[in-house]
Order: sequence, then C-alpha cells, then structure tokens
Amino acid sequence: MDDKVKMLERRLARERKARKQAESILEQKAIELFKANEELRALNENLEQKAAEKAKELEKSEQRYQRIVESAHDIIYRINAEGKIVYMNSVVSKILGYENSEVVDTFFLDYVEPDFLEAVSKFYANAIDTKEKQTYFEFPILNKSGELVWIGQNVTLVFDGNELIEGTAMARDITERRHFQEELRRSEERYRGIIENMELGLMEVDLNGTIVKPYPRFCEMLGYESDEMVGKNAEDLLLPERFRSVIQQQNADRQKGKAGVYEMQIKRKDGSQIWVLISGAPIYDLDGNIISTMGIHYDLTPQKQLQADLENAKQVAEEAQEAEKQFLANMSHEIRTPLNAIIGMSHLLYDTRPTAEQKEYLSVLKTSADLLHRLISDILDLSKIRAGKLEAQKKEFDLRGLVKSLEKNFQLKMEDRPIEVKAFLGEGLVNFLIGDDLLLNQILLNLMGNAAKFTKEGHIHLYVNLVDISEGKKTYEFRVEDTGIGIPQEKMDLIFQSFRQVDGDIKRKFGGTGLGLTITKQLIDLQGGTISVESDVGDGSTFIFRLSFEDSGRKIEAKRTLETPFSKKQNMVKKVLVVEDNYMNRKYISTILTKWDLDFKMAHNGKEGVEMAAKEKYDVILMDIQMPIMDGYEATINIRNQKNLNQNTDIIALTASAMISQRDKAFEMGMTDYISKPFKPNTLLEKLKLIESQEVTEDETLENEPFQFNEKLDRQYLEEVYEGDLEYAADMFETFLEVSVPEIYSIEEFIKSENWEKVGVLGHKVKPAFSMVGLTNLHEKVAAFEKQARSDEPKNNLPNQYQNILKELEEFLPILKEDLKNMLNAGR
Amino acid sequence: MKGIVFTEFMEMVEQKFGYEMVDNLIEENELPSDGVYTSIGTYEYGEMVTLLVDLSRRTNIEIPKLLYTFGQYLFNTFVAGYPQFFEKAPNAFDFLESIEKYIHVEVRKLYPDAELPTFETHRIENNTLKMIYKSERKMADFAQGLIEATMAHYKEDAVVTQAKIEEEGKVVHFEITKK
Repeated sequence: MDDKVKMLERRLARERKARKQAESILEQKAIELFKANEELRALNENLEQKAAEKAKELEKSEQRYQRIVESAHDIIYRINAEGKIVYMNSVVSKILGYENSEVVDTFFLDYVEPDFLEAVSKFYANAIDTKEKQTYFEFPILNKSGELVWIGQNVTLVFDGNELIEGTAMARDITERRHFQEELRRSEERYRGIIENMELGLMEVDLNGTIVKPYPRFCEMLGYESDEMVGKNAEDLLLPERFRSVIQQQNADRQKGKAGVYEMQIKRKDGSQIWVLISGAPIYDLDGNIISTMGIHYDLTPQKQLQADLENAKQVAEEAQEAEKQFLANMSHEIRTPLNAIIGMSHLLYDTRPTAEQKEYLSVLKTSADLLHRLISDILDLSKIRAGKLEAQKKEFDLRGLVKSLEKNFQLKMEDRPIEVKAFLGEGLVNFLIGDDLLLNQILLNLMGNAAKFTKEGHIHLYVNLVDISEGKKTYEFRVEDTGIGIPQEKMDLIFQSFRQVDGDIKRKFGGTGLGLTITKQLIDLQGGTISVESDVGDGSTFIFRLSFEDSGRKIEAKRTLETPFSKKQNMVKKVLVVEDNYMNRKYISTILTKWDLDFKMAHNGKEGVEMAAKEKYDVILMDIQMPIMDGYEATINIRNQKNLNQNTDIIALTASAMISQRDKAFEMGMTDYISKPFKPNTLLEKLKLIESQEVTEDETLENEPFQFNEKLDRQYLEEVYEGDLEYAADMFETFLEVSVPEIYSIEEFIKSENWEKVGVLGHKVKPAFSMVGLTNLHEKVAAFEKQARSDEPKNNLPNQYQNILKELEEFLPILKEDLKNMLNAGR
Repeated sequence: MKGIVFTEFMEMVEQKFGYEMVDNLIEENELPSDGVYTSIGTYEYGEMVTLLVDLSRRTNIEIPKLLYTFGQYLFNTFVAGYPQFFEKAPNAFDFLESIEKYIHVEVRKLYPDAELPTFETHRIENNTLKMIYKSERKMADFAQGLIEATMAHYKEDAVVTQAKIEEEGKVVHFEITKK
C-alpha cells in the first residue's frame, strides 16, 4: 500500500514536473512567437512602405516611358517569341490607321505586303538564328485602308541563352523618303542617260589635270577605251603642242572659278586631230571648294567641213555670176550690132522710094526690130541693175521741163486716140534738182507707156507734187493715172515681178516684154524711192511713186523767152550738131560741112542728140526724123522743153521726101526749119545762112509790162512759187480751169450718194491745185473738207462745207480767167 | 529525441505492463531527466536506450520486438493526433512517400532540432515500394512497425521485408510488396 501511494506520489510529482516543463517550454515558445511576430510585423510594415514607394516609382517611371513611347514619331511595339504583338504605341493609328487595341495579339507578319512576306520572314528568321540582337530592315506594310506604306524598322531581340524571349521594334514611315529616293534615282538616271547619250563628249579632270572620268561619247570621239584614258594626264594625252598656251590660259580661268568656251584641235588615238569646241566649268564640293573640272567637247568637224564647203560654193557662185555678167554684156552687144544693122537698113530702105507694098513690109520689119531692140535693152538694164552696175547719176536737171517734154511727147503719141494726156505740176519746181534725170525719164516713160498701152479712151494724167522737205532733200510724189482696163486685186503683187504680166491674155493682146514694171521698180528702188499701185478692174490704174532729190539751190532761169523762129543777129553759124542715124547720110553731110569749114558733131540717134545738146551749145541742129531709140520729134521736144544749152537753138528737120506730113509735124514739135532728103549742098547752105551764130548769147527778152496777179489771190505765194515764170503760171492756171474745176464739180454727185471715200479721194486730188492758183484760203478749207470726209466723224455737215467751197470758188473763177488772159498776153 | 517518443513509450509500457513497470524503469535507472517527460520537450536519445534495455531485461522481450510493437503503438497515436497527414495521402504508398517529402518537413518547421530518420523511396512497378531508412539511432524495427501499421491502416495487404545495408543498422532497406 505505501508503496503504491509512494508510487502514485512519485507519478504525480513527475506529472507535475512534466506539466511545469511543458508550460515553461510553451511560454518560451510563446515569447519566441511573439518576438517573431513583432519582427514580422515590423518587417511587413517596412516592406509595405517600400513596396508602395517602389510601386510609385515604378508607376512614375512607367508613365515617363509611356509618354516617351507614345510621343515617339515611330511605331514602337513589342512582340513575343511567336511574333505576336503584345504592345504597340498609339502612333500606329497615325501611321497605319489601326487602333493599338486592334493590333495587340495579332501577328506582325500579317501586316506585311504579301509580295514581301517571304523576304521579311527570311530576314528575321535569319536574325534569330544568328542571334543578331540589333537589326534594321525596310519593307512595305499595308495600312488599314489597304494602301502601301514603306517601313524602316530597328528590332532588338532579347534572348535568354539560346531561346528568343521577345523583340522590341521601332518602325518608321519611310514612304516619303523612298519616294524621294526613287525620284532622285530616276532623275539621276535621266541626267546620266542624257549625259551619256549626248553627242557631246564629256570628261572630268581633277585639279592636277589627271583624267578622272571620260564619258562614253568622248572616248568614242577619240577612239580610246575608257580605261586607256583614266589616270592619264589630259594635256599630255590629248593636246597638240601649239595649243598649250590656250590651255594654260583656260586653266588659270578655271582655277579662278571662271567658265569658258574655246575652239581647238585635240589628238585622237590614231594620231589624227579633230577640231572641237570646248566648254569648261569648275565642279564644286559641298563646301564650295573646286575639286575638279568638267570639259564638254563638241565635235566641230562637220562645222569646219561646212565652212570649207560654203567658201567653195561662194567662190563658185561668184565666178558663175561674173561669167554670167560677161556673157550678158557680150551677148547683148553681139545681138545689138546686127539688130542695129537691120534697123539702119530698114531706114535706108525707106529712103529708096519703096512701093506701098514694100512700105508695109518695112513697117513690120521696123516694128519688130524696134521691139527686139527694146527687149535687149530691157534685159541688159535689168541685169545691170541686178549686178549693181547701174548707178544713179547726180546731175542738175530741170524736173518741170522733163515732165513737160513727156507730156508733149505722149500727147503726140495719143493724137489719134480719144485719150487726153495732161501733166499737173505742184510747187517746188523752181530750182534745179540734183539727181538722175535719165532714170526718172525712163521711169515715167515706162509708166506712161504702160498707161498708153492699156487705155482705150479717157485720160492719162501725170501729177507731180512736193510732199516733203527735210535737210535739203525734196521728196516728190509722182502719180500716173489712167482710165484703162485696170488691174485685178490679186495680181497687184505680180506685176512688179520679172516677166510677169497680169495674165496670158494681156500678153497676147497688148504685147510687151513683161520687164517694164520690173525695171521701173528696180530703178526706183535704186534711188531709194517707193512705188505702189491703186487699181480696180475696169476702173483704171494709178501708179504712185516717190523719189527724193537734193535741191541744187540754183534757180532755173525764171524768165524764158518764147521761141522765135528767127533771131536778129547776122553772124554765120559755126557749130553744128548733126543727128542722123544713116551712115551714108552722115558721110554726106560731114563732107559738105567740112568743106564749109564748120565745126560739127554727130549723133546717131535722137537720144544721143539730146545728150549732146545738153553738153554743148550749138548754132544749129540738123535733126533727122526717123531714127531708132528716139526719133527726131521726141528729141526736139526734149530739147525744146527742158532747160538746156540748146533750148532755143534752131533745129532743121531732115525730112524724108515722101513724107510731107513730117514737115508740119516738125514745126509743131518746135523745129524751126526743114530740108527734105536728098538735098543739094546749096540748099542746106541757104538754110544755114538764115540762122545766125548764137555765140554771143544775150538773153533778149521782150520787155513787156510787168504782170501782176490779182490782189484777191495770194499774190505773195504766187510770186514765190512762180518767180516770174509766166508761162509756168499760165499753164497751171489753165490746167486748174480746164481740169481741176470740173473735178471739183464732180464731187457733188458723190456727196449726194454719200460715197465719202470717193469724196475724200477727189478732195485730196484737187486740193493742191488751189494753192497753185493762189487760192490758199480755199486750199485750207478743202483740206479740212477732205480730212472730215476721210475720218470716222459724222458727215452731216459735209454737204454744207462743200457748198461753201463752191460758192467761194465761183467768186474767184472770173478773176482766174482774167489773170490767165493777161499772162498769155504778157508773153507775146 | 523528442519528448513525444518518451511519453508515448511510457504510455505503452503503462498500458501493457502497468504503471509499476514505468515507475521501476524510472526509479531504477540513472535518467538525467528524472523520468519527467513532456511531449514537447527534448531529451537525450541515450535515455531511450536505457529504458529499452531495462525493459527488455524485465520483460524478457527482445529489443527489436519491443521496438516493432512500439512502432505500431505510436502509429495509432499519430493517426489520432495528426489525421491531416493521412487524409492527404489516398493510399499507403503515397503516404509512405510523403513522410520524407512532407511530414518530416512540417515536423522540422515546428521542431527545428528534431532528430529524424531520412527515407529514400523508390516505386518498383505498381505494387512494390522500396524505402531506404537512414538514422543514427538505428531503430529500423521501430520503422517496420510503423510501416506495417500503415499498410494495415490503408487496408492494403502487404509483405514488409527488412535488409541491413550497414552492419550497425544505420542504413536499412525496406521492401513493401502488396499482395
């Protein structure tokens, strides 16, 4: 029992101890726990704070990066190892049109343009294989609208050991850049194409003169291969010795930055030399320093050849022209001689008393020969003019006299036709003019001759008016007006061309060489004048030309005596002018004149006669009638009407006995006597005795009462214009009364029909005449009248004006008539 | 050695031989702890050896058998005290495998200084498990008891064989083959 109790006590004690042990252990553990907890909590708090801070930092940092990434111009994105887009910044919407939410979780290769897919895949697959961390590649992408956008992207690949984790990419829109690149490339190609294909040879040379780049065409030009030229010294290779100095100068210029152009020869590979035109210019680098020179070479070989050819051709042409001239000169002479013989012979035949039949044949012969002669002369003249051999002479001449001669001449010619020939002279014909009267005569002859040819009836008027004075030169306007068949508008230009006539019909109907107007125009051109024509078919033609002459300053002697058949002195003639085309006759006359110990000169035709009469004063002129070129009548008219030394010299006509009518005409023309062929020497002598020597020439004017113009006229003006030349004045007054006045009245019908154009034309025509009769006030009124008729202004008061003019004119008419009568009387 | 071993051992001794035996064991042996054991305490392993030896002398039961029996007894304590470990493993082999991987890990969390054996497990086909027991305390029989109790608990019929690899018994192979 005790033992049990003791055992139980021991158990209890052990239990209690064990319990206490446990409690102690627990407490310890509790304390440890508590401590651990505390530490944990503290740690926790710390950690939380740190975490919060870190989180904030991270957030800020993320925001910063976000902002950077978003504000980039490029698309920035991340793809995972499979190529899926895990993030893309919003720039993608700007550049490609996709929202970044749309693209996330899609494959980036899906956006590549199909044709390039293989290339892109290959490129990146290769990069991954070779672990290339940084790559750059360009390829096209299709944007949301399906359009092509070129991308250039940098990709950074992230590897963990051998495994690809992800990639970061920055993609740039390079579409524009590519576009420009393409443009640039194309432009470059174009220029290169141009340069390479130009027919010019280009060569670039550095500052040492070493050839840097010879272009293909240049190599071709010289026969070199490109590599044969590169690296060589340009001068040594290409330059002939004699051009060294030229090059040196050019090089110096090039160094200074001056471009230049020059010609010289350069050596080809085969040693031959070619002419080139070289243009050199400096080439600059980006900093503006000269780094080399570009030479452009233009092959002048064809040019030089052309030059040589031209020289040759010119020479040949000149020789040909010379030959032609010679030919023409010779030919014309060759032709003229026998022609003259034919003409001469036909004249002689006239003197052999031909039968009526024979006379007919002779007439044809003569006409033909004359025509032929004229043709030859025309051709020769034309060729002379063309060759520039014809020169306008400068001689003093009397324009008024010239015109008057022509008038008389043509009046004679138109005798048997219902055509009135009249010359109207304006002012300014008082002085001798300086010019070529022969040419002027020929011109007027041509024009009036044409007028005569083409006019059946009506009139041929010649108007001569002074239209301009400047610097001592007087310009005259000549108008040859006819009422002939007229010229159609479309042929106006034609008629001045050589050998052209209006049409074939004209040629047939009217004949002619067709050279007349051409020569006329040439003669006018030669003297610096102008010619034109106004015409309408059926309405006649007016040829108008202007020529300028210098005023000699010398007055043509105002006072002229009218011819008197016989002068009063009684000295025997000493000097004789013989105008005779027939050789035998000349021989005959010369024999007898020599026997009588007289001075004489021979002229072979009228023209020569006139020329010679102009040169020397003779006591008498023996004038044959029928002569070639110019007959006796014409010659006489000339001599009588133009101021010359022999104007009053006795002229004895040598008439053909068969032609009685010649005598009358001779007197009419102004010849003073006649003698019919054949004649005895004595007959001639008697005639000569009647004439006296004119050596001691004194102007014997019959003094008459000095004439004065009516004071109602512009006396001062009239005296200035006519300077006492009453015949001139009388002529003008007569013309005014007989021609101008009717014309003035004719204006009335055109006013009635309101044909203002015609009114203007007629007004213009008659206007100068008023001054010529001293009606200067009326001249003004007519001028105003004409101006208005020709203007665009309203014409309703023109009829009034006209009536006023007429009224005033009618007042003056009796005065004019009275003065005219007095003038004519004063002459007697 | 953890207190629970001693407290359970004493319980078993009491249960099987009465408290007098317990008392004798304590009173008659030099024990540094004076036989005062709490399950959460830690005592020298040598005390267990002393107790075992003395018990074996007094009962005439060999130590191995004592250990084997103790193992089976302790299994029940474990089942009652830590049911979660058994709920976690659906079968015996899974449980045996979890001792090293999981159970002893948890024990060390609470009692870092616990001296525990290590088990290396290998499954051989579907019905054989090899467990390699390593311990300085050489209590393989104890382990066998536990193992067999485990098989019984999971109602899996099996044969458990033991093979010494190290002569002192520090390394032992167990082979558990299900029938």
